[in-house]
Amino acid sequence: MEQGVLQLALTWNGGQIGAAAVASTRPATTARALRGFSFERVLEFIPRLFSLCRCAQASAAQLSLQAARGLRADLAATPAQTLAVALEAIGEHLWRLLLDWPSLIGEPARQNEFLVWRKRLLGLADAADGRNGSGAAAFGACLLAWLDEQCPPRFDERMLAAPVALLPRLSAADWESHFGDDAFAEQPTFAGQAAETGVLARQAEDPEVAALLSDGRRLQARLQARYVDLRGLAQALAEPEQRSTWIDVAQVAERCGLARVETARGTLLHRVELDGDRVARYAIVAPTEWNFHPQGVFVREMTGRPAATRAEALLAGRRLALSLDPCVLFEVTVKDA
Amino acid sequence: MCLALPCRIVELRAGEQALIDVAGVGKEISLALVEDVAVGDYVIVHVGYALTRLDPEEAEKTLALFAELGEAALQEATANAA
Repeated sequence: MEQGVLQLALTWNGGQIGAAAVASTRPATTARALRGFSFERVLEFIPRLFSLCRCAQASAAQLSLQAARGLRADLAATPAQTLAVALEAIGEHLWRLLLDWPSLIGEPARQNEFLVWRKRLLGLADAADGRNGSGAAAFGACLLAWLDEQCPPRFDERMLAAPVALLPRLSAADWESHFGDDAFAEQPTFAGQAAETGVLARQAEDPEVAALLSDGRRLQARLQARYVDLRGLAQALAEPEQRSTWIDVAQVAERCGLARVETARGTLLHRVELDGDRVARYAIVAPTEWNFHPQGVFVREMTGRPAATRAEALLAGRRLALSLDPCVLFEVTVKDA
Repeated sequence: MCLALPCRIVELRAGEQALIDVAGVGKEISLALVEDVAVGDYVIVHVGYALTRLDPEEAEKTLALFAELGEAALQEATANAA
């Protein structure tokens, strides 16, 4: 088994995918390793630890630690933090749409286009100190114009099984009662059940997404939701108020802070308990742990899916996994029942 | 989660590819998303692409942080980059 890869194993019985299983070789112990460090050291660690969602992780750490220290009752993300998180999410959506989806529909990756967007995003991120509003707004307008000319790949497949519930958007304060022990961060559930986070959960009320959902076309709904999400982000670059819903923080107990940050992949949660100025407990719940929970959306939507050939089963698995946007490399395998 | 372990460029190859060293194991990656990378530089890698170039001093600081966090975090980061 290759290390660091989300292993998605399908069992094919000649006519359908009879079973699906998720195995991760990622030990997910990093947040636990933060125990005992001072909050200053944690603030130094976090921005260096993550390759994707780096701004989201850094904001979640800063805000949850500030809340735990009880510095301000009206603590909220700054416009610079929400701008950085929005730019990061745009870059990660564009990566999926331009580099990853084309290969699953038999087209070449649009690497040159991606590079142009990425360069502009990095330029904006470097200048993002909350005052570069006009540059970000102009970029947003450009992105909206480009989006007008794009349309998602089209898939007509319908899901037969009952879907996994979509994760509701709760405030940071409300998340506190749903947090569990250390195992929660590795296999999170909501009200005792696996749930889906990400673009579909965030954009399920968009009329086109809602229509696809009611038609049972969840893969297509998820793809459509990614475009809707990207459009919303592009618009929000000019509107700090619109971005403010992406980040939320609360002091949830004495010396305990919780931050929720929306990322391209879904809801990211950081919860920290301090003992004095040192971390007594740190938990990070990343979107991938929701969507690739052993009883989560990938397993539910694959199990029982008709597939006339092994190749069809493999492609269906890859498409579903990509639509759920894991933050690590994934590998789909198919074995005969 | 996607941890950002700095990996050293060992060899530049044709087609914007490079060989990196991940905890003693060689791996070929794409340099399409980064500019001006030389042998000896460090990069942060995600799903086979170098995402960012780090100067050696910056990379050493990050590697020291992973080491300080302990063996488990270092293993997790190595697994992500591999």
